[in-house]
Amino acid sequence: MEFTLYDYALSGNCYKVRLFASILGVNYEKISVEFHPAAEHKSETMLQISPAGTLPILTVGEMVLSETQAMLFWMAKTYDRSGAWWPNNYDPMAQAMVLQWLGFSGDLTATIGQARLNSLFQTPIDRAKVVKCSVTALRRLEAHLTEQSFEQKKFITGVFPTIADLACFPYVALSGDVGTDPGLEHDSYPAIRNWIYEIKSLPGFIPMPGIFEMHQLKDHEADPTIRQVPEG
Amino acid sequence: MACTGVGFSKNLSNARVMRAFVNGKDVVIWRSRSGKLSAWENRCPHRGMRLSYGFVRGEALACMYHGWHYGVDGKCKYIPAHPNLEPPKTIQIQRYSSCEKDGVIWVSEGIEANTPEIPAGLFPIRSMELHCSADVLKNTLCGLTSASLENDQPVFHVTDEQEDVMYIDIPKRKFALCFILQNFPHSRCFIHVLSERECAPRDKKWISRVLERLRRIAENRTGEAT
Ligand SMILES: N[C@@H](CCC(=O)N[C@@H](CS)C(=O)NCC(=O)O)C(=O)O
Ligand code: FES
Repeated sequence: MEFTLYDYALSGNCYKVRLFASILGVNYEKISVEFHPAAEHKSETMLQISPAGTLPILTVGEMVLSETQAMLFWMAKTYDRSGAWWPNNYDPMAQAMVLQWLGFSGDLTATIGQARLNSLFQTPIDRAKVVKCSVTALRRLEAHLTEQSFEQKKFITGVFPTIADLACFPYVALSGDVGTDPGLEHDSYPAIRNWIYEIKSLPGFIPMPGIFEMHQLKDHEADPTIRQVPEG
Repeated sequence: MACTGVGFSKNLSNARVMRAFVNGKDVVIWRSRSGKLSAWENRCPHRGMRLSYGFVRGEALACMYHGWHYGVDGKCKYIPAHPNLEPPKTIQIQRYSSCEKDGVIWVSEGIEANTPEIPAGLFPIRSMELHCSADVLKNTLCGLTSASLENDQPVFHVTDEQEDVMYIDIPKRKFALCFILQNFPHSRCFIHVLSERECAPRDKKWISRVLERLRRIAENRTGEAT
């Protein structure tokens, strides 16, 4: 096993690591931590491993990471032989752009992520304010992806996806799940809708609860006029 | 029956699905793998699931709940739980008429559709949602004068106004824009903005940011009114 992931199935942040590992085809050890209701990530045992007290946690031997952005970077540098998921060393501005949108992915956790925790577990928040900030974040991404499309770029920093796309994807894709507040559903954002389709089409894409994959066609379903031969 | 502009053709690729509102009605719009466009009531006849959550499979739309397949004629073609059953012909979704003209998707209730009167040969720029009604947006646009904007900002100039379409000039940059208005629930609207001439990406970006500025102004007005 390459690394260990302390994981919670419903967490959008944990999903970032699971998704990237699947895309890269990396095997890892997964240890489930009960985020809710047990708050196991705040237990003395877990705080001993990661004092940050958040999930996910990624460990490699003695090294511990508690920020998903750092995890995605480490995974790209360690396992991505294509070199596409983190731009090469000769282009500081391309790297800076990826860093900028990695930073933005933190805003998504702080807005849509918080609103979602409130919907799922009734965590106390100023919901109206958090929803408003969530809409602001979605509009910012929508405007950016629209501008990218003017140059035929389908992803956040260019024609190919980077770890910035993967970092932003989960909470954007989950925003419709947060509630029916106007501006959280994807119907409001044509560029985001198309970007979600692009991410879901990536080889190695995996779903999580609330984020569905585009169904695999089974032979008999590919063409509904072809029926299975009746048995007997 | 009047037509509603629901978006741009380029924003709905083959095998993709979107949701829109037409006269307040919830509509699913989708393109089959071969590119056929359909617009239907956004409700699965089985258990009422929104079909806009569904997936395109070849020339059919599959409901995400129990996977019933509907062909472009709106008729149920296949029920996964009963693979050998010929679905009853009575299972049928209410269809809307849809058409595409100069890169805009138009939908109307009923089977006969009139295409709206917008000039041919316009270039789609951006579809954008606003949290204000189309009426507030119209009033905002008509009320904008150079005095209501800061000096270095472009002056909008409404040159023509119809029910769902407006023509706007931005003289400083010599842009002539066409706004197609679409009402959305919860006092929202969409604008689908086209340009009279082909624009470089840099110009499109500039227009896109001007539209956002316009949205801030119109939404602030809504805030003041309530
Ligand atoms: N900065 C962390 C934040 C991760 C995060 O917010 N995780 C949530 C679960 S999805 C969490 O553990 N929250 C508990 C807390 O903040 O106390 C990252 O990006 O990995
Ligand atoms: S609700 Fe659509 S198939 Fe059951």
